[in-house]
Amino acid sequence: MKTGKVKFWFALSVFFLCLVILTSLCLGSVDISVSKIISILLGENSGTDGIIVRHLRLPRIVASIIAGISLALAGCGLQSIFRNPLAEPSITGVSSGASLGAVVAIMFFSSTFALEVLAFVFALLASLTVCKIGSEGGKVNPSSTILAGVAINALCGACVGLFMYTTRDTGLKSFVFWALGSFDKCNWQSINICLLISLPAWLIMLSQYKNLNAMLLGERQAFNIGVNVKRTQILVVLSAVAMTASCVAMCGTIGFVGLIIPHIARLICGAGNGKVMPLSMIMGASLMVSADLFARYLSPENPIPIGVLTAILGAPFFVFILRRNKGNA
Amino acid sequence: MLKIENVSFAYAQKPVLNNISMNVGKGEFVAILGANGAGKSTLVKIASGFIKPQGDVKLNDKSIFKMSARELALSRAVLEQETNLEFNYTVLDTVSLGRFAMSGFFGIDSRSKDIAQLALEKVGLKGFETKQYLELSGGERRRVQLARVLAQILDAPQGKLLLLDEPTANLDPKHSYQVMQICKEMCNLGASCIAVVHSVEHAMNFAHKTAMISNNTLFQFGDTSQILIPENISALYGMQCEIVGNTRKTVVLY
Repeated sequence: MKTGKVKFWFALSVFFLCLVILTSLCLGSVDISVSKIISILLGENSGTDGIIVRHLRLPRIVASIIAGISLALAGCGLQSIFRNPLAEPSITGVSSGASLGAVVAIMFFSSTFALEVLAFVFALLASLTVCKIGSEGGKVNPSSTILAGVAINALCGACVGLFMYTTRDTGLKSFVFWALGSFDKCNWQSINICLLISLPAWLIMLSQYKNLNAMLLGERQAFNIGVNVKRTQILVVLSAVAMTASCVAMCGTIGFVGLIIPHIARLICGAGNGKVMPLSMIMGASLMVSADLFARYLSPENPIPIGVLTAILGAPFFVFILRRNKGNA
Repeated sequence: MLKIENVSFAYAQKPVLNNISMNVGKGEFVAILGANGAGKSTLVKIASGFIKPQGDVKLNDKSIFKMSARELALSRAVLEQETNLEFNYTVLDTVSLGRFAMSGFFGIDSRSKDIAQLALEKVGLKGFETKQYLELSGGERRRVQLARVLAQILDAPQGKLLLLDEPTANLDPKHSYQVMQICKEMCNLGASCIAVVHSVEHAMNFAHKTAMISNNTLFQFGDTSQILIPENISALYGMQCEIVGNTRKTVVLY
């Protein structure tokens, strides 16, 4: 696509993100006007409306943006490093590890904070185990890592199943709601912790964009043109794991975002990560804010879990990519 | 320029190369011949620095295994036997990847883009810049990869090394000839070239020196005119051999 058209799509994406953020601030169980929103954001107290915006809507919008950026950027990085168009953050075992951590927290502790901490720790442990199993001579072997991810996902899934089988109904419902993905319980504390981990991870991932372009040629060719392959693999995989783990800990497992968004970005601006990554970040954020708005506006009393919406969108797209890849083979 | 010193290598206990030594001087074009599985590609991987053998490989008197990936990329360019791109780059973007080591954080500059353009012209793909790589034929993709490799050294070929593993694979006779011409031209400009070839005629008509690999060892190495004689070619491939012609020689194997 020509440069002019790419710039147009960038501008359109940013505009759409701003629009959907504003809409999300305005709409809900209580509709608030744009002028009121602006005055609240500028510091005016505004009573109940101010509380709704500052403590209910704004945290979930910010959490959606962070989640959208993290998942989309992690998907970009992993698809490039593994040279696999079907790679997404969950292949490193992060989602299943986080689920296991969440179940342990629900069974033995009763605080949201404990759930977030254990989900993050278990996500990290599962991913590092996958990376360790999938490495040969210090380098990440893409095929081995993906297979290791399948194994660890299965193991964590089995443990989660066992816990769910033995737990009480209330615990089961809490876990299921968390596992399907939701921004309901996101507060400023959890957002700050997530951002503390995600922001450096984003910067590390973005700094590797050139190396990831080269890695698309394959490890040997990337080495031949001057890439430190081992360092690139470690930085990309670890930063993808960190941003995904912190996002999953904050809002549960949300699938397909990391798979879909990079492909849409590539359709617009080609394979170069210099454009794909920033565009994916904007589109990922837009998708999540839109999905959250849709989920709570459709059913204000019982918002639809975000993971359900992204799966409904993502599954057909997944099939589309599969069929498109068959054509290119 | 390039010294391969007592190199041995085995894949999981299976020996592939045994005590290989050879020197390639500045401006020399060396053809490597051998049967399938003889270890030719392994030798290219070792000479590129990707795998570490027993023994050493020195480029301009410095061990390549003590050089960083970037340092190596500024001294040599490698064309692998196969390159599979999973995502769709344009042809110019693919070729521009050859300028990776010379680029800054924000990507390649306009000079590097010009060099990439020149490399495309050299391989006869002028006008292909905006085409999608995955939509090209096998032969066209091979030429794009060669252009990428050339782009790495085209601006300053003197003292650089070209390592090419079957550069004429998937190419028709005309383009195979062109590729060998390009290799010879680069040597005339001061680069050195090591190319794995299956065509004995290409080695005969273009290479200054020829290396024959057989039974994991360097069976023969030296001036092409002295190495490529029917006896050696027969022994290498296990076939009868005749060489016909005067100015342009044809090798007949049967």
